[in-house]
Amino acid sequence: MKRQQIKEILEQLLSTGGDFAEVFLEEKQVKSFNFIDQMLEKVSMFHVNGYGLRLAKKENTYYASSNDFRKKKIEQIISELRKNVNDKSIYKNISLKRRKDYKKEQISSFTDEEIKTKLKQLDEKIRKKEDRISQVNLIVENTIQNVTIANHTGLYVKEYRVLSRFSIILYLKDQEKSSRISFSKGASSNLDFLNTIDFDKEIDCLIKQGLDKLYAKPCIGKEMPVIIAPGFGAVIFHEACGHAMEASSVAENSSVLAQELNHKIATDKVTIIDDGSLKDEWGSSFIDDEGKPTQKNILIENGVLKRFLIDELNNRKMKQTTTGSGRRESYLYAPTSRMNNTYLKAGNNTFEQMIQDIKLGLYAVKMGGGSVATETGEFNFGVDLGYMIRDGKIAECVTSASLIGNTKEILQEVEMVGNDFSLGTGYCGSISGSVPVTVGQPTIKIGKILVGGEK
Amino acid sequence: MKQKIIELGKKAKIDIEIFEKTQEKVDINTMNGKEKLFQITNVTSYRIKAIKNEISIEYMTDNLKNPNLIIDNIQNIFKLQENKNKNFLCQGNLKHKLEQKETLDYNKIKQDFLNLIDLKKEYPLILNIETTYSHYINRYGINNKECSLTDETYYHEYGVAITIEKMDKKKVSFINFYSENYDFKSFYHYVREKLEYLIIKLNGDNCTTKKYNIILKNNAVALILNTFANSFQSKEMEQNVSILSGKRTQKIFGDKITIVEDPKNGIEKRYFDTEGTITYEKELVKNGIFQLEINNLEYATKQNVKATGNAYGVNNLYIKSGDNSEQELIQKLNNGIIIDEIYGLHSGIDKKNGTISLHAEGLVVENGKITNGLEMIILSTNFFELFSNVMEIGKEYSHNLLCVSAPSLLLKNITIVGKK
Repeated sequence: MKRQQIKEILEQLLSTGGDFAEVFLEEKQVKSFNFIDQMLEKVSMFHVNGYGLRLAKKENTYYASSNDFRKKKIEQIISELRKNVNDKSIYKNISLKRRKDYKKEQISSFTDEEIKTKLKQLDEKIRKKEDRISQVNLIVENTIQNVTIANHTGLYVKEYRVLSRFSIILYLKDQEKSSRISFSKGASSNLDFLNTIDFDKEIDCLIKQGLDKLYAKPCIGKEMPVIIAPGFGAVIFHEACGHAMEASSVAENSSVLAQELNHKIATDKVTIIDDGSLKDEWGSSFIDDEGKPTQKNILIENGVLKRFLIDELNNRKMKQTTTGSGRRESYLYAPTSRMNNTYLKAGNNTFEQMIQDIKLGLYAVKMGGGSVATETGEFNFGVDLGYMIRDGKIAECVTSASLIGNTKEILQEVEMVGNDFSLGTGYCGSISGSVPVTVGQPTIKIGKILVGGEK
Repeated sequence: MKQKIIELGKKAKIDIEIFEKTQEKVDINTMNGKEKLFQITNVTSYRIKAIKNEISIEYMTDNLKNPNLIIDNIQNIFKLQENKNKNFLCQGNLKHKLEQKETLDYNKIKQDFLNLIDLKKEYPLILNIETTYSHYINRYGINNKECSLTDETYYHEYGVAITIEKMDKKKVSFINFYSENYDFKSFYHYVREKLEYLIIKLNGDNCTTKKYNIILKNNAVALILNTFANSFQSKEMEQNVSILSGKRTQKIFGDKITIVEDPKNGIEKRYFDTEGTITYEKELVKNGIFQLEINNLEYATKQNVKATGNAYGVNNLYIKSGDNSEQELIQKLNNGIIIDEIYGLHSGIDKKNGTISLHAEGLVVENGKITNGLEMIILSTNFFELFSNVMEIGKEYSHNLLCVSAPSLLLKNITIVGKK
């Protein structure tokens, strides 16, 4: 779509009295390499090109998405949207600013053949290390996404984005026992990011974890202290309080934290930041999906709730400042406030300090995802691999336990925060679709939380 | 454009088949009796299957405007991909049209959902009611040099999140419901049933960690079955990534469990899969014995068996129901726990070793009656244990998922983890 057409669409959308209009254009190409059974089993390519039109009047939003760019279809869609608003036109002549472009180097130095060779070499290396490995699955995914956003204020921006992700899934087997363990890393950069991964270290660590999990016992089920490893362990905060700080629920007053701004909701050791501008991180971009620059947002500082993540339209109810957090999976969704890279700031406790007084507890090493009901603050997340702690020492390996808690209670249970910070990558699903996010933390100690298990 | 791509493919000695899906969707979201979002979607996507020397690759796009580029990309994939399994294009023709398409008034539908706020008058504990509604119309088509298939389906998806509050204590219930034709009455009835349980759980207690006899409600059974649905795929079994790898023809569940897939008779009626294989009714598990894997054309060919029409996954997969009403199950339970909600399936279930550890809620049953609610508990079991410890099966099917349904199950000796 050219500038003139975008301008005309905005004007037509607003012609029946709407007070907000936006055009979102997306072109995306996803290429993935799936290496399994010792071969490049599947190379997939997926190409997307579509648009989303958003119209709002006060607190009501009307949205349409399509990948049919014919003039007649666009007019039909505009007509359907405009039917919902019946008032005097406020904006007659939209003047779009000069388009501002944000660019990332999208093309990698790796050719497809080099990716294939690398995967083959990794597969051989992994299989040689351990006989009990029954299957190796390696996945490389690269997404090139170009988004153009324009709205009634004259905002007109385009970002050339790139995302890359690498995953290893190992399956181990010993007679009747079997286990599955995985590692993944992503970045908002092209596939050159593969050069930043220490494959030897990650593979050795993964095989050891896979073997531990193969012979792991069921976890003990009860309330107990838990030490959570750095990196993806921060899914606890993503679920426990992250979603509850998104305007999607706060604006409707349906979040458990909606009335807690400037209140102390956590221990002094808790400072949580969300930052969509972190260079090359998986959850980063230059602009959000409403065209606003991403930024560092200090959400909780020394236990005090300082701000929420706020998008443009939810801010109509909240009347604060937007935070560059409007995100969507694709043109098929209207954006809403979402997390980007959410992390707990490092402290200065050591692991020895955390473990020494624990009579019976859990050391959660590898986490799965989780979920939360922001209305009540009840959340859960999965521990894929852990170790019991007995009398201040690491004991037997355990597997597959859910940890459940409540937002307000758990934030008061953060007793210690370590200094070994790292980030982990994943996807977050919510009302505006699935978006790439990172979570991060150092090792932490939680005073008590309910752990799922067998006895 | 489709024909142009098929012809260009032919020139390059590549057989091309194009699977086309067009989706039209209307979404209506409300919050506490006010409209929040109205959305319309109209999207077409294509999955191109290309076969050269009996080997196939797949290419997906929503744009056929540049056929030469598409063929170039396909050729590049052929150079890279190493999968030598044979594959074929679909054969045969079929044209399935909707017998009776309903006439919908979206303004009336919107009003139905806005009017849910009236529940607040009858249930003053209600704090918030947030609703979502979607109407889907899907058109599927497959074209290759020899055949043409078309199919059209539609269904409705309803959702509501009801939050109740009493003396600063809140509980929320997330309710999902699907139907083929618009059926607000049934959805409303279901919402009221869930609301009654939610109110009991508002003063919910906790429990001791131990084994209990439980009723796992139909919506929870369906969610767990859905998580393991792809474990029945031949591809996953052969690649040794399925929990069922190595368990062909074995007894994997209790005698009472029979699992059927009947894609033509689901909420969304599918007559062919994404490769054009005509779907049919089949028993995957009969009386606890694993009878049949599901597959796509590649794995049907590899194993020299009939293609089951499951290239996209499953549709209308269900556990055969029993004879017990929900009330009869409660009486037969006598003393135990009803688990009516489970959360966190994407992280609390290990699909390879079958471990299930899920955040749950429920109700206490004493002497055949519900006496209290339970919250912040964990259902702790295993895929095989869950479907083997079945004592009785309910007769009412779940409605919370599109492609999978189940009855409630009365189970013995299942671990529930609590704080007491």
